[in-house]
Amino acid sequence: MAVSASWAKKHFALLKLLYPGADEQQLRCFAENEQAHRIIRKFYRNLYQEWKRQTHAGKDGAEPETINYLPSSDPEPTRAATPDPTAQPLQHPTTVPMMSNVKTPVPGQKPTLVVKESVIFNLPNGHKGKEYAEVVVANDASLKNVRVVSIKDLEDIGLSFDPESQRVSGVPNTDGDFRLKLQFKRQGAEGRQSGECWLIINPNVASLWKNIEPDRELVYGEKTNTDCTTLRLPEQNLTAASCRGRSHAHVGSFRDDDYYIEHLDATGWSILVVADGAGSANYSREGSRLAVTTAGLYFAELLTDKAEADDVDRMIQNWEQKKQDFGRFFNEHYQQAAVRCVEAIEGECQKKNAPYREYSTTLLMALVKKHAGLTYLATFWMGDGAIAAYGSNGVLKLMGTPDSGEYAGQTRFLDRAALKDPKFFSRIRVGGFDDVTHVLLMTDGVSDPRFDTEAGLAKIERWDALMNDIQPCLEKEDPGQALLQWLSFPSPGHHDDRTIAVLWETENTAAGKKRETAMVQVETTGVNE
Amino acid sequence: MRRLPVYFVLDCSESMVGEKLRQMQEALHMIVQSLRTDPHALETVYLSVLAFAGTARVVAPLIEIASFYPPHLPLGSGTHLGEALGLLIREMDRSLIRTTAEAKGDWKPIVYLFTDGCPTDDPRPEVERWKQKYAGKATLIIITLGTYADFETLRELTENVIVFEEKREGDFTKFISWVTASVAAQSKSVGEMGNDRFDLANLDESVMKLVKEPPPKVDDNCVVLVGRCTKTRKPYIIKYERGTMPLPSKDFHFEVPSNTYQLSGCYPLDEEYFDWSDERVIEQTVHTSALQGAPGCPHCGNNSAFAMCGCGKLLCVNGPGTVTCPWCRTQVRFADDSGGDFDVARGQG
Repeated sequence: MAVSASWAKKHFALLKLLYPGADEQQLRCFAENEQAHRIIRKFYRNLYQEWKRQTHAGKDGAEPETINYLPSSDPEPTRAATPDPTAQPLQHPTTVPMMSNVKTPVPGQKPTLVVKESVIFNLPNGHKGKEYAEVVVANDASLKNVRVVSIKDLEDIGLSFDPESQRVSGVPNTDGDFRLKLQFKRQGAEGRQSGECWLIINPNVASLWKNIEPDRELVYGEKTNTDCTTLRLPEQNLTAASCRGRSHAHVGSFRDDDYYIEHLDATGWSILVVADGAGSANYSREGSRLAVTTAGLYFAELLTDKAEADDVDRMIQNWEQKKQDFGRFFNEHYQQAAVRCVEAIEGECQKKNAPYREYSTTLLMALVKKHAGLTYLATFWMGDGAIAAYGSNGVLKLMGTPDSGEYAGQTRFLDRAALKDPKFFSRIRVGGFDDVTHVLLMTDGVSDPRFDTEAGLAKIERWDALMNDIQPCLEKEDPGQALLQWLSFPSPGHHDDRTIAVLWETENTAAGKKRETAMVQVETTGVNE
Repeated sequence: MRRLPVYFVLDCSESMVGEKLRQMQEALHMIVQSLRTDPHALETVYLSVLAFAGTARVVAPLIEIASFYPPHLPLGSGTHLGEALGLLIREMDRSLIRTTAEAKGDWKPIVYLFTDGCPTDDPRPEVERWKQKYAGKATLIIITLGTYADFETLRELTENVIVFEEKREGDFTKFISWVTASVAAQSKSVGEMGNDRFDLANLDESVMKLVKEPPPKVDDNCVVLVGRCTKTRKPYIIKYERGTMPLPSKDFHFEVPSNTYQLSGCYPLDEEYFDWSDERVIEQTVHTSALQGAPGCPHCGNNSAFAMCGCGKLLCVNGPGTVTCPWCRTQVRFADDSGGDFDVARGQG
């Protein structure tokens, strides 16, 4: 208990007597001090006891006259009434223990009355631009039978409150965290109380993605954010599209994917190449470009050469006997092409004095020739992504499996070590297939959102779904542009660069073809078709 | 779509009462607010909050950020780290999606464990379980608020033990920015490169330090006491913090921890506090001579919230007189004289 004012006054009077020379202000302070108070009271008590003992001893049996054992004349009502302060207090019939264990606040210290926090109400989160209709509830479950009367500032967000249904509804026109003031009343009670309601409106995710131009002053700064090409031929079409992913656009870095497509009119071969530069490598945008260009040009040169092209044609025409030779031919040449790619990158490393890993890239290639209604393919698959020959009649030939590393997302890149790897040749596959209408190559920016896992790649339904989406693009005037538009499809969690290359038959060759799914024996009719 | 699960395991023991608990609540709010504006995080991060004191509970199950609502944090007596770990393990088993051949599962989750004191249960069995089976499946980051935690035990759980001490204004904000940035960076890393290796980089050394060697054990820095208001019967909690005394020196101003505790605050509680406390634990006592200052009652404004009944519990009084003890319901009489110092049972902290 704090020293009361009347006590302090009495103590001050005593102290003045005891220490007449002392500073008055100090004396006043001391008079209010809790410790001093205790000592003084003890002194009073002890003195009074002795006084009582002495005066009582003088009389025979009579009670000492009741005197006030305090120095000043005005008695404290509760205390002065007690004649014998050392006597035991009166006990109630039911035991009332006397406890003196109290800790009192330091004199002058105000009791700490903590202001109660305002009553909180909850509303579930909303999304900017999306319809919202939710009932407001009190956070504290023990608050029963309260009804919210009104909520302030909802109109600023684009919402309104209906007291009847206790519902907040509307379409939020802004995002943010809002602490709204409200009025509520308890059932049966008059008058309103104020409270708070927390409402979180999420922004539109699409609007959060920034699109920042990369710094064109940097080395290899000419790499465009998007690219597309379309080649129209009498019997087939080729198209490819490549675009920068949202995560690169968000931070202003470059597109790391690239592609190369070509058709050799003289010999009827089509070349499709795609590559995905490693995200963590600083110059992988150039790595991918060098890889696709070097590999593409290697085969362009090789397959334009009449002698070579004729050799291959003979293997095709005599497929059953010669398919092994066909395989060996492409084993050898894919290996050479891969070496050329690595050398090209190494050359660039020398020039720029940068380590090879800064140019890390994947590489997927397909060489395609049509003959007598069948599609002959030789493919090379290093890294993630996918290569497939597809037919709308339920044909799916996956030309390999994606590389994956110790944790998802890690993959294999084209480098010297990869060339020496004994499994190198398993990356090369060849085949002659019937009923193939499309050949597709893509980087993981497309295969991840559409197929998710390796198992997904084997599911024809997923390929059917993909074809369903891109077929309209292929039928447009400019399939490359149309594909480029399509490549910006939203897919939460998938924001990588996206590249796709497609070879497909034109209408007049596709229509009217009714084929058996069994392999057709091709007869040797001559050197040239 | 692969999720990046982030678990917050928060120490809601008594020693956190007042400023620290408010800061942690604020921290959760700020972290979520920042992550909401990062597109990578908004799409992939899923948050969950587990709280522990005398018991451990999930206060927010794993949910995407867009739907996450910062939960109200409780307060209780005890720091049962073992129970918290057990709950975390169960929750991870329940809510995480594993990668199968058919579908890709969650990325490697991040767990932020905040604590400010020593465990009050035996965490060893749970620590062992974590080390054997779960340490490789998640990135655990332990953040101690102040230096009074049991670093030896914490370092057994993970290498990532960080001490945060708020010395200046703005330190707390820096600290929260670091937590947010580390989550955002990880969500970007998994999104872009498919790499979920966690990098404990960019610690702002002025505010947080990575603990490499467990520092020598120090005594606790606070005493907490629980009482009930005589008028309303509602509980409240009194906190004393270890004071410092100046060490005389002519050149510098040194402060060393003293043997007494200063009153730092008295806060109202609700009954929820007892749900979160472990009543079985043996109580320790503290002598009131070590406690400086006594508060008033935060519920009714009574002069002293520090009156002790014969049953050993605290209640509030307003001068001498007879009151009914809100704990044991018997009548108690308090004299006008405040008497000497006494022993009082203290909370586990």
